[in-house]
Amino acid sequence: MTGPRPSGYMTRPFPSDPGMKIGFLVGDIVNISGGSNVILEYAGRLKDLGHEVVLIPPVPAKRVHPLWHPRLKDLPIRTVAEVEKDGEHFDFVFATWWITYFDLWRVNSRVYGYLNQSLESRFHAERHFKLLNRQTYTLPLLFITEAKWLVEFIQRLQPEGRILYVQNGLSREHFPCVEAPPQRSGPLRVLVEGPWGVGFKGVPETFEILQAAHAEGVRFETGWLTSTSGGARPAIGEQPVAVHERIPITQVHQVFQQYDVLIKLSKVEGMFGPPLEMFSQGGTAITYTVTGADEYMVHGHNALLVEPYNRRQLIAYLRLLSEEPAYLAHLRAHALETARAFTTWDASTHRVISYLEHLQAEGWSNAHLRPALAAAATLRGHWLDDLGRFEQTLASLRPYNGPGELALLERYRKLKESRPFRAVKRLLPSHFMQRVRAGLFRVMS
Amino acid sequence: MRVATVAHGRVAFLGAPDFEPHAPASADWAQVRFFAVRGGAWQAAAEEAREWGPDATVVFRPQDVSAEFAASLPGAMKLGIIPTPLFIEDEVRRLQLNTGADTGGFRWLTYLEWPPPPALARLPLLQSLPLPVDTARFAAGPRLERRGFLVPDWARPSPSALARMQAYAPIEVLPGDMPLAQVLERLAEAGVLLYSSRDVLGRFDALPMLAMAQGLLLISDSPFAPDWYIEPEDEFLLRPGDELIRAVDEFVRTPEAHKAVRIRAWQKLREAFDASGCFRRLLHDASLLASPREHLSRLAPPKVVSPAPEAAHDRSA
Repeated sequence: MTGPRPSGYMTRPFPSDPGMKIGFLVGDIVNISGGSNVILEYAGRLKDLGHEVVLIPPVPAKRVHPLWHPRLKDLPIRTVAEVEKDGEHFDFVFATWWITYFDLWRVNSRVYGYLNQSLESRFHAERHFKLLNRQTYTLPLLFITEAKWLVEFIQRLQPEGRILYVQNGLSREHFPCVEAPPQRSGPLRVLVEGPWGVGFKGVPETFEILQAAHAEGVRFETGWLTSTSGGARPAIGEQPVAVHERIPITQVHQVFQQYDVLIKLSKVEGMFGPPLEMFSQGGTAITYTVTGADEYMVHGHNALLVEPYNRRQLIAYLRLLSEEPAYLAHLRAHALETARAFTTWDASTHRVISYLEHLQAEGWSNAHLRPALAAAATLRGHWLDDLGRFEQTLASLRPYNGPGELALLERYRKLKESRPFRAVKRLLPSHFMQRVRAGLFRVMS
Repeated sequence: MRVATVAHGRVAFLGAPDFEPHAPASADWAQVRFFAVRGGAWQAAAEEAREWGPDATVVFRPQDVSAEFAASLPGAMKLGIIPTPLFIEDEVRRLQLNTGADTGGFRWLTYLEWPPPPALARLPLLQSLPLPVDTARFAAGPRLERRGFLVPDWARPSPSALARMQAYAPIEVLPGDMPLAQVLERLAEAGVLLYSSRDVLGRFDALPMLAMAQGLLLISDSPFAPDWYIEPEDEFLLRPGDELIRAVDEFVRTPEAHKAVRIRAWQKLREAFDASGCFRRLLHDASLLASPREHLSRLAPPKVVSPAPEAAHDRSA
């Protein structure tokens, strides 16, 4: 097995060069998340290269010990209000989590950018959040993004923006590639990954499928790697699932090594890391054909992919992997090859910094967008927040109508508009209609 | 979706002409060709396909052919695609006779949703597969500057609702007897498809999917089946009742705000419903699940996966 590099991180080739000052507006950076990991990898490595890097959360962020990510230890954290009050000037400042976009204007910067890891509108069910999220693509910022589908999306939506595509790296420090997939005996070992309570992450749905596979006689053991289990303790058949909760990133590879296949059924991703990290430890993965999967996953080569409408196939795949060790070995071997060949965080950071230096040398700035960013922020502060509150109030006053109820209501509305219905209605006395309406209202209530 | 390299040779698609936009016109994983069955003349289409010499044959609506015909189809692998819900007993009986490893007919079937009707559950169903779309025909992407409204005659809202919509914008009605080629031309010129349905979308009519594949904004009063995971508000607009009318007004006033939805619609169809990707995967799985060991022996020899693209992509450079 290849161990972590003792020296760890990159060093700046010309330490005497004055570094740039780069800010990242962040959300909940002190708690485990894939998105925060990406920010910390870039921020930490940019700092190693001699640049001044500041993490800028909206409110004071208290580091929780033990730190989930070692980079948190060294990176300065100052709130938006502090940065604003001190009048700090940045060369580049990046929004990250989409809500942080609305604080960009508060930071004085030569270049305003957006480290865009997903179309985060898809995280939310509420229309006003989706509309608000769309606002974050309305200005020609410097976009840095990790997935080809996002490049395509942003290019078409905001053709005036500058867009840099850089794949996320695979951390060789935290996920050193094993020499060879560990040899196994016994039943297939399946690892579920993701938090319990986030709908589009699909964790409860995954356990349902595993339960169905078990009921159909597929033999396997199950573990669950999660940032938060929400107190859930699932079991497959009589067998409780082994829960690996809040594992620091430095130890996650040890969990991956214990399993043969990662099953991750999230429906929204930018470019997800866990399958690739699993690959590095000699395992394969089963996922949905989620956005970003095509960055490195190839069905039948290093993993198995399935469309959400075809999820029944997951059981066939689990049976296949459990009964055909040669096929499992085929996937695991190619998965490890994929991980070995995958770009590193050092390489990704070099691409980012080369591009920022290029912009700096060119004298490129979009500081003129600051008033427009401030104007966009008022949408959040006033109109859309009010709309959100209004919708919440409205929702609390009426029962929830799902698609089935809406279809019924629509049919009822059409019936009421129809000629025969109106003709009958004209024939009936109005007090009778009032009694019918009152009766219906009581029943529906 | 990227799929492991397996030699598929030639793949023939057979079906009524309206299925042509649902079969790949070209592919980088096999030679593909669509053979149109005109006026129910299956034999003529099959003869033409046999002359071409396919290694696999995919048939749209296998419930329309006899066991003898299915057995006579060319190719070592024969797959039947059931693209709409199945109700008719005769059709089920025909499938029972023309499908199965021992019939010489279809080795596998697909059904558009799960669960299939109980009568089909005993047949070899390879997977669920809603009718995919050959998205390569629409590779140019959404024509976001086009903003015209279309509504199909067979899925139009009530006359009073339509009249109210027309107060905001002209709305072209697609007649029920318009040939598919012309429907596709009208879609290419438009920006929005309005669709009023009494069923979840896509089960009986591929038009909503064809519109999304071209980057039109789909505004409907019904959702897709939840399993399809086509996301309301991000990929189409779900507007029941009078909200459908308000959505027309909203689009007329703020077309810019809807561009993201149109782009995502176009992307989603390529991600999960692309005919080339779906059929490639289907043939791959047909081979894999029929005999994993034989499948392994057919795979391209192992090679080191080429590193991820290194060059940073700067579109402004």
